[in-house]
Amino acid sequence: MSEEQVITKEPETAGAPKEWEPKIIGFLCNWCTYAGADLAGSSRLKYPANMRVVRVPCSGRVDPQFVLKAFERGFDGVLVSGCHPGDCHYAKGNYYARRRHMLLQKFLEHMGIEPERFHFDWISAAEGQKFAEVVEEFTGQVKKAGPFKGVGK
Amino acid sequence: MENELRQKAKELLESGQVKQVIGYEDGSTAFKSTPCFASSPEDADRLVWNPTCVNNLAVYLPSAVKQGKVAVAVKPCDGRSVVELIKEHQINRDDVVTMVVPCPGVLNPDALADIDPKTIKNIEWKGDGISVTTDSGEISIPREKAFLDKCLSCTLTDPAVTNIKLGDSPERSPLKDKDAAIAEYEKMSVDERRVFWAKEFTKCIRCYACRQACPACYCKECFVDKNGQVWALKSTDPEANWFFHMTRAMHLAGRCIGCGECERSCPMGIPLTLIGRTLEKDVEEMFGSGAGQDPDALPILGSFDLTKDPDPCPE
Repeated sequence: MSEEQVITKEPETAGAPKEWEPKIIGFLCNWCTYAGADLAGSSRLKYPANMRVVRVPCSGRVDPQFVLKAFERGFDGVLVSGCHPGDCHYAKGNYYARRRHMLLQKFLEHMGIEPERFHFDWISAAEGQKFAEVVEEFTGQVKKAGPFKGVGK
Repeated sequence: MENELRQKAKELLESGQVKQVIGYEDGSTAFKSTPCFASSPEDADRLVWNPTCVNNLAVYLPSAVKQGKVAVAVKPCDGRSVVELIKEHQINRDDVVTMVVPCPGVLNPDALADIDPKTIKNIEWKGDGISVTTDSGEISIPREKAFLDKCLSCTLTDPAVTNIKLGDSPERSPLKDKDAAIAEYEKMSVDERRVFWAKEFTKCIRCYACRQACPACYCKECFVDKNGQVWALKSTDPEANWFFHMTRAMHLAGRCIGCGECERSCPMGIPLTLIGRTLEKDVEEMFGSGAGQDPDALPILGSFDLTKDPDPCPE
């Protein structure tokens, strides 16, 4: 299946207009949030399938450049998530990530990207439930914000 | 003042304390000065100090110190850049002699709009503003018109890395609020801002003058010049321009001292200082420390504070 088909795989009712689905990219830390996502899956928890996951070694690996690039390419929302404070596999990567992304979110708002389109969160490997909730809530939030109009016009 | 600067530069060069002195010299016209790299006592006679000395000379330091110890003439604002360079280990504190010149404000080129540039003979500080000598006589320009915006709101004192202080600091009372432009900008809605910047960045011709003039942009290879990993297209696509400016802004987060060289060098008139100041304000609000104050501090995005950093999801 192509990327496009993956997100619109619900059977279409003939003639009815397709509901717009946001495109979301998620940068998940390998040690916590990615495992949390795995747990959500193996626990058969339901959450919207709008997010494409990129597995990164640590939330500290996520350069603001990744987030900017996602918006440049027209993603409607970006989620960055990693280990809770004190749980980082590399001891302090998430502390650097926190500073960077809290600042980025504020800066994005100042530069014309709604804060609803960017979310930074802590999700541990045991929090499958939280992962499902965060993704659901974030997808809803981005859906409400509507299609991203892009940065070029 | 100019003599004092020359004298000091001569002393430093004669005694061999420094290899070169970076200052300003007369440019090709009377309303522009240009950077001067004096490496002998005779060269020091070329140094000048007048309202046209606008450039931030700290931009030359990382490459200049490779040839030996350097003395640099800085205004209090540019001195902040020297602090940042030391803080980020781009130059050693011992390799630079910071000569702080007293600065009442530097020339806003718009102030000369009504004067035929060919007739300008000399520009100097006089009273509160400046005095322009032309073929047809002397013209006085008041402070609020003569100086750059950053000068009108300037409250800076001598930077933390001052070695030599030349002259006395002039009395400076800010005429303008530093954030007047920001306050105006912040009245826009989020979506209006998106459209505003899309429009502004469309103008960008990607000459990278902003990057070249910036003392904080010292990477050996800029992310836009990389050919292996192409993060930003080299074309002037509106999206690629946006990506370039946004990434550059994030690279300068917590490091920009607001000298305004980017905006001044921009041939397309993109209001780049607005981005710098917005980000500076965010950093101050969130982490409480500003750029260019303490040469021993840790870089803001290269450190963290467990007790004070904001929590994205308080339980």
